[in-house]
Amino acid sequence: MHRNCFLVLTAILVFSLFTTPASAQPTWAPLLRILSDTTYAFRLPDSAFQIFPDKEDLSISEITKGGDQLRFVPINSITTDQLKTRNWWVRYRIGNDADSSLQISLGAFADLVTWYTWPVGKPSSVTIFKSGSALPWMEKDGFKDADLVPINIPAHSEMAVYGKIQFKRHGLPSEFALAWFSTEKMIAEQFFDHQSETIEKEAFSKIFFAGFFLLAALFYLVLFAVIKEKEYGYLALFLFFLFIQMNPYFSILLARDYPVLAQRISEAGLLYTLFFFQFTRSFFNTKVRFPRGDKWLRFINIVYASSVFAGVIWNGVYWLESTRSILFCAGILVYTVILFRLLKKKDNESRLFLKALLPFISCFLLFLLSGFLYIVFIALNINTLDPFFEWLGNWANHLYHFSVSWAILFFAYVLFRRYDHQRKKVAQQALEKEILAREKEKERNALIARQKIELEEQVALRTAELHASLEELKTTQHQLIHAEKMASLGELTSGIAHEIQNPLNFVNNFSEINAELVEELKTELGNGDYGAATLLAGEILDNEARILHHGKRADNIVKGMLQHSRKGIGKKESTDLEQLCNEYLRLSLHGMRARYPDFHIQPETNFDPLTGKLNVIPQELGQAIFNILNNAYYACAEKIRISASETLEVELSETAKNRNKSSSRKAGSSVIISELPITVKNTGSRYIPRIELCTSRNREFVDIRIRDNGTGIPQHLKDKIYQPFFTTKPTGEGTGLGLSLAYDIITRGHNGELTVESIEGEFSEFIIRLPA
Amino acid sequence: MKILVVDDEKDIRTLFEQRFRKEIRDLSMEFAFAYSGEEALQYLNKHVHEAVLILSDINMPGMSGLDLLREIKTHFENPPPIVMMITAYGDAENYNQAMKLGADDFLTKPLDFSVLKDKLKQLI
Repeated sequence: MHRNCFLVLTAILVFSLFTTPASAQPTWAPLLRILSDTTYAFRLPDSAFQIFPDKEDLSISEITKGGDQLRFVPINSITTDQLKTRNWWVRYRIGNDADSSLQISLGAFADLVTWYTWPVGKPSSVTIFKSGSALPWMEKDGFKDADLVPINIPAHSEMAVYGKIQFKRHGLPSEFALAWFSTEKMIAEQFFDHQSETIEKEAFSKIFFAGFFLLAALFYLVLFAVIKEKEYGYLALFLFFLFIQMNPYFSILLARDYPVLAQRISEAGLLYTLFFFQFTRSFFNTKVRFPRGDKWLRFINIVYASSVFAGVIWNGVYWLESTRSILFCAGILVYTVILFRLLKKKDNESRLFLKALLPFISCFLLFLLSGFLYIVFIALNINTLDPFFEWLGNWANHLYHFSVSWAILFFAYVLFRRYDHQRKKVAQQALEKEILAREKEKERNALIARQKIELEEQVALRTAELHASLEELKTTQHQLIHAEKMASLGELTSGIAHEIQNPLNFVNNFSEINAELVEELKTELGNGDYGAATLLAGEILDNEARILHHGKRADNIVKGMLQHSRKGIGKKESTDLEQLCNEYLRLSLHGMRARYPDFHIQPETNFDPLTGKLNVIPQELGQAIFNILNNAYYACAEKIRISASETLEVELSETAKNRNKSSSRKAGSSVIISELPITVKNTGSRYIPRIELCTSRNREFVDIRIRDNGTGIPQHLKDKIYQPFFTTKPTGEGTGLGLSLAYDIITRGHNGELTVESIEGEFSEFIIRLPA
Repeated sequence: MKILVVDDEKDIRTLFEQRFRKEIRDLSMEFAFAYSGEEALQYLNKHVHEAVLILSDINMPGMSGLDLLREIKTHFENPPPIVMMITAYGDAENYNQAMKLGADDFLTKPLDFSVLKDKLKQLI
C-alpha cells in the first residue's frame, strides 16, 4: 500500500539546506529545514543524510560514541563492496522553521528498523521506535500497517535522527529504502480519511473474491472427487493457492504477529501459477498433442516449483522472483504458441480456453498499453490522461479479480460441458451395450429355445429307444427265464428219461421171458407134465407182478415230470410242503445223477411235524427249491473237484487203503457218504458232502432251509447272487437265472423272503421264509 | 465161466437167472450178484483166482459203477477181469469215461439179452 504513495509524487516540499556549524557534530550532514508541510512523502536529498554500513551489529551507544572507524558518509561515497552489508545506520537532522509544531513519520523499507530521536543537543532525552516488515505487530511502534514512525518536532526546534536499518537476507536493496518520511498530510489522508474507506472497499472486494475462489476451489475439489479427472484437481489447487496468495485481509492478522510466516505462506501461494500450468497441460493434453512443448512446460513447472519452495525458505530473495517471472513469461509463451497452433486447427477447446481467458488477456493488453502510454505521457509531460491512469490504478485489482472469476466460471462451464458430453457418451455407450446385450440375450434365448426343442426331440427319441430296448430286455428276460425253466426241465427230463430206462429194462425183458415161459408152458402141457406147467405158470405170474411193478414205477416218474413241466397255471393251492419238498428233492436227484455221474449224495431231510399244508403255487415253489438244491449239489461237487485237484496223488493211494478197511462196514449201509473220500488238505479230515433240507413252522411263517457244506459263498458275492445272469459257473454251464428265479418266485410270487447264510469254504444255507 | 452182475436193482438177479436159464442149467455160465460196488469188491476179493467177467451198472447209490471199474482196473490186474458197463445213461460222457477207465464194453438199458448172450458166448 505504501508503494502507492509514490505513484503520484510531487515534490512540493520546500526545503533549504544549511551548512551546519562544525561545532555541533564533526561530520553531521547539513540540517534539513522544513519550512512548510504540503506534500505527502519526502525523500531526503542525498546531501541531507549520512549512512554507515555496520558490519558488526553495533548498538546505538557504540555508534554515538563515535570514532574514526565509525565514519558516517554521504550515500554516494558508498562502494559497491559495502552495499552487501546487511546492517545500516542512517542519520540526519531536521529543523522545524515553521511556527507550529511539525509531525512527520519516519520510514524505511527494511525487515527491521530502529529509530533513535532526540532534540539536537539533548541526546539523553532519546526516544526509541521500532518498525519493519519482519517485526511482529505487537513490537511495532507508530503506524504499524505502513511501518511509519511519527515524531513531533516543536516549532523552531531541531531533531537528531539515528536509524538502524536491518535486512535479513540481503544487502542494501536501494538507497531509496533508507531515508524518507511522510508528512502529516499524507498520514491524515492515507490512514484516517481516505484509507479507512479504501481499506474497507478493498477488504470487501478481496474477501469477496477470496471467498469466491475458495468456494470455487472446494467446488472443483468435489468435482474432482466425483469425476476423478485431473483437470478439476488442478483447478482446485490453482484456486486454493490463488486464495492463499491473495493474502486476504484477514491474513493480515497473522501477518501482524507472524510477519515472516505470513510472508512464507504468501510465497507458497505462488504455486497457483504452477497449478494453472498443470491444468492447462491437462486441458490440452499437451503430453500427447504437443510432446515437445510439453517437455518445455514440464521443465518450466519443475523449476518454477523449486523456486517457489526456495522462496518459502529464503523469502525476499530477489533473483528467485526474477526467475519466476522469467519462467512465467516462458510458460505463457509456450502456451501462446500452442494456443495459436490449436486455433489454426480450429480446435474447439482452444477457442473455449481463449474465451475463458479473454478478459484476462484484455486486461493484460490494457495495462500494457496504458503503461506504455503512461511512460510516453510522463516523458512528454502531458497529464490529460492522469484521471484515467488513476482510475486504472484503483480498479486494477478489481479487473484482475473479475478476469480470474470469469475464467473460473467459464472453465466450470467448459468442464461441466465436457463432463456432460462424456457422461452422455458413456450413457450412449452403455445404452448401446445394453441393446447389444439384450439382442445377444434374445439370440441366446432363441438358441436355448431351439436347443431345448432339439433336446426334447432327442430325449423323446432316446426315451422311445429306451422303451424299445426295455421292452426288448423284458422280452429277453422272459425268454431267458423261460429258457432257464426249460433248461432245468431239460435236465430233469434227461434224468427222468434215463430213470425210466431202468424199469423199462425189466418190463421189456420180463415180458420177453414170459413169452418164452408161455411157450415152455404150452410144451409142458402138450407133454402132459402138469407139475412143471404149474411151476412155469407161477413163474409167469411172478414176472407179471414184476412187470406191473416196474410199469407203475415208470408211470410215477413220468407223472412227476409232467407235473413239473406244467406251465401257466400259477395258481395258489393248498399244498403239502413235505410232499412238495420230497418230490423236488427226488427230481433234483435224478438231474444231479445225470450231471454228476460219479458223484452221489443222498440229501438228508428233517421235516417239522407242524409243517403241514400251505397256500402256494406248487410248481413255482418247487422250481425255487429245485434251483437251490441244484446249486447245493454244484457247490459240493465243486468242493470235491477243487480238493481232488489239490490232493490227487495222496488221494488215490489213500482211497485204496480205505477201501479195504471201510468197504465191509459201509456196503449196503444207509449212511450217506461220498464214495470218493477226499482228504481236505488243510484239516486233514475227510470231506463228506452233506446236503440237508429241513422245515419249521410257527404262527407267522414257515421256513424251508436248504443247507450244504460245499464251497460256500464269498462275502463279496452275497449281494450279487440274486442278480439275474450272475453266475460263478463256467461259461455255458449256468444261465445265472436260477437263484434270480427262485428269489422272484419267493418274494413276489409268495410275499416271502429268501435269505442266505454262508461262510466261504464251509457251508451255505438258503432260508425260504413264507408267510403262514 | 463166472459172471458177476453188479446192480442196485434187486430184480436184476431174477431177470438174469431167467434169461440165462439154459446156460445156468448146463453150467456153461455161472452168475454171482452184487447190489453195490462195495459188495462187488468184496466178492472179487474173496474169489481172486476165479475167472470173472463183470457186468456192472453205473448209477448206484454209494460207489458208482465207474468207481468200481477204476478200482478193478487198478487193483485186479492178474488176470485183468473183463468189465462190461450196463447203464440207462447211455450218453457220450458216461460212455467216454467208462472207456477211459478201461471198460471192455458198454451196453445200454433196456438190455437186449440176445446181443448180450452173443457177446458172452464170443468171450467164452
